[in-house]
This record gives sequence, structure tokens and C-alpha cells, in this order.
Amino acid sequence: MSEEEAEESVFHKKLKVKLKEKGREGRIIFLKEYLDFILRSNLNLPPDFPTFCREVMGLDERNGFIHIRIWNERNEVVEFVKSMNYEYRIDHYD
Amino acid sequence: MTELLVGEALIGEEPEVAHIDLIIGEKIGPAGAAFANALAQPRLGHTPILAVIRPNLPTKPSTIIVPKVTIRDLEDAEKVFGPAQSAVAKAVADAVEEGLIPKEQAEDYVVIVSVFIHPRGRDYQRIYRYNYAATKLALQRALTGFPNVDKVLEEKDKAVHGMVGFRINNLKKPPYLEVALDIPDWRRVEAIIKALPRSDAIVLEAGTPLIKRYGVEVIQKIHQLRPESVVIADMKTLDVGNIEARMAGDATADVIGCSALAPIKTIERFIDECKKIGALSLIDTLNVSNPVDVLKKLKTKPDIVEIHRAIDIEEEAYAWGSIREIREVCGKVLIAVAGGIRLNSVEAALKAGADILVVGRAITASKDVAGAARAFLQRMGVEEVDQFRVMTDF
Repeated sequence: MSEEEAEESVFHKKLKVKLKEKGREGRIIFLKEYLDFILRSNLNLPPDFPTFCREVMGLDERNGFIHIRIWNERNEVVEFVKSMNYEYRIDHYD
Repeated sequence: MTELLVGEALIGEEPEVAHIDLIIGEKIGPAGAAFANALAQPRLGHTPILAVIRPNLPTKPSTIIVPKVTIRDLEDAEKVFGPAQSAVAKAVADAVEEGLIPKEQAEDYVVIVSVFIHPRGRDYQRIYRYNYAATKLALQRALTGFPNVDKVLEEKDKAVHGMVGFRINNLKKPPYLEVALDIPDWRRVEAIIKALPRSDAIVLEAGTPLIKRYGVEVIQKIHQLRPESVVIADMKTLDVGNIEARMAGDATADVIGCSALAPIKTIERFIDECKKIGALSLIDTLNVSNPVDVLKKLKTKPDIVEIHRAIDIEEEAYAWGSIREIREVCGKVLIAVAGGIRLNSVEAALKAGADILVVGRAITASKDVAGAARAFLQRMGVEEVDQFRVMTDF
């Protein structure tokens, strides 16, 4: 087991992602790119994809960022934002 | 020698890896007939040819090579008819020289060698050496009867096929820790799975709330994260047993759970369907007053019986006293115990005869998921070692 795995934690966190465009259009682009990432990476569709879409479309936008709830950093959404060069940061839930 | 012997061997590294399947047998018999038929009936892209050490010098015993991968062009043909053919011919001749095949019987036998040459294989040195070694090994295995049935039975549940990359675990070495993923929040479940230690002794349960929220497809997603883990689909089936078992099986569940409250016919059809699709059947006795009576009525017995105390009645005592009786009725069966299992109840559960401890919140709601799981494994006396292995030679 790697050190990274050994130190894995399951705490509530926020993935803060800056959308490429503001408003509804930016979210649609984000979701389209996420789906594209899943299909091109040959991954199974996340079971919560419909919920995730609703969540992303309904999230508040704070200075161009949306705050997505995650439970650890080795997460498919995090892998996606990294690979698509989104500006992001991960904060503990407050 | 009996009339027809079969050998197989895999040697080398991608892309020149050699995979040989061969038959050796007497000319008078099925091997001889297959040999003659193969030469008389060539197929497009899979033309059988006599193995020659060099042009005009066929090897002995007479050997034909059959390419497994379709030969599309001259480049493919050169690899098979050049280094591979020569390697096979030399290996057969060397087997005679070394006494593996008796020299005085070299004219009595024929050899049929099916060769695999990857279209991306480029290095003739490696193609020659790998195919030589694989042919020698396959011949030796054919002539010595390797593997015998006992070896196959011993290895079938331990080994991993190199091209599959994971092993189907049939839960043959209890005790196991079943982590019940009952939380209907996929991102949290994903985090828990990633945090769990990788151990053969941990099996993952797609809990009923999780399946109800996301559908059986969630099982496939769990397998994507942990391909080597056994995944249990806790369907709690009450009707249409065969349909629900097939749904979970299609979604790659290794074990599928049905409620013992279901009609006997439903449970039987459920177990039959599990057998058909190669999954283990689990019967969950939650809220059944006399599980042994239900089990007695079943024509086909399940692979696993789960003694389950509901979350809503955890203040009541465990009902582990029936384990001995369940074993008498079902014979070879695994016993799972569920419902509020904590670290301090592990020893009692194992002592009562449990093979699988189903633990949910004590691990999934822990601040330290990995640590909590390790504590259970330790208390169960299970070493945290991953026995995942690839056996390439014997």
C-alpha cells in the first residue's frame, strides 16, 4: 500500500472550481466536458451523475467558482478538473 | 503414450510474447487425422505449414504450425514463417535429442502447434527465443501430463490470469470482513472504498439503500474502483428471484442477496439463476423467526446464509445459536452475521461459527475508515496481506 493510500481520509471537503464561462453556459460546458472525460477515459458513468448534474446546475457561483462537495481528494471529479486544466482548490468543509 | 496429449505455455514479454498451444499424438489416431486435415484444408489467414529447421529440412516428429492471429500481410507472414517456425522446429528436434520424445518413436508421432504472434511484435530475436522456449515447455507439459487435476483444483481459486488482471474470489478462505456500504451518497461511498485497505479478506457490499438510490449499475462502478474485490449486491429480493439475480449478475456482482422472507419458489429460482450466472447466492434471514425451517424447504441450498439483526432492533440479542443447525441443513455453507457488529463482538461471532462479519457504520461512519477496518481484521486474526498474485511458472 502506498503512503498516499495509507493516509487517506474520508472527511467532508469542498472542491472549488472556476468555471470557464459564467452562469448557466459555464455549467453546461463543465458537465459536457466531465461526460466527455468519463467516456474518453473508458470509465463507467458515476451512479450519481443525474444528481451531480442537478447539483452543479443549482450551485451558487462565488466569484466565478462553484463549490462541489467531495469526501476525498482522490476523486473522479478532482481527476477531471486537473486533467482539463480548470482552476481549482480544495478546502475542508466549514 | 496415449493417443493425444495437450500442452500449453506462455513465455516472454509483450509484444513478442509467445503463447503456444500444442497437441502431440500418434499418427494413427485423432492427432494424425487432425494433422492431415489441417494440411489438406488451409484457411485464409491461418494457413498451417510444416515446421522446418531451415528450408528443405522439416523437423521430426512431423510438426505443423497454425497461426492463431490472422495473417494480414507479408510482414505478419514473415514473422510466423521465419523466426517462429524455425523456433518451433528446433524445439521439437531438441526435445528428441534430449530424450523428452523417444528417438525411436519420432516417426510415429505428429505435433500440431498453434502459435501466437502479436502483429506489433518486431524483434525477431525475441520472437525466436520466446517461441522456442514456449514450445519446449508446452511439449514437456504435454508429455508429463502437467497440470494434473489436483493442481488445477488447488490453483483455480488462487491464480490470476495475466490478461484479466483480477482474480475471482470464491470466498474459500474465511473469515471475511464484509464492509456494508449502506450510505446512499456515491461520492462518500467512493471515498470510503478508496480509503479501505486492499486485502483479500475484505469484501464490499453494495447495500440496499445504495442500490435503491442508484440502481444495480453502482456495482460496476465499485468494481471499477476495486476490480479484485468481491462485491455483494444486497438486493433483498422478495419476488421475481431469477430476474433480480440476473440484473445484479449482469452488473458484475460476485454474490447476490435474497430475502428469506420471499416465497420458497422465488428463493429457489433466485439460487438457480445465481448458479447459472456464476455468482454465489446469499439468503438474508432478516426478520425470519425460524430460518432453519425456510432452509429445510429449499431443494437447492444457498452458498451463504446471513443471520441478520435489523438496525432498528439492535438492542435485541444476536441469534447466533442457530449456526450449527443451519450448517447441518445446508452442508457446505458460509455463515454471515450482520447487524450492529462491533469490535467487541468479533470474537463471540467467530466463536459461534461465523465466516463473514458484516460491518457497516462501525467502519463507514468512522473518522478513520482504514484504521477501523484494520482493527477488525486484526481482531479477526486476519493478516493484512494481499494474496493477489500472478503465477506464470511452476
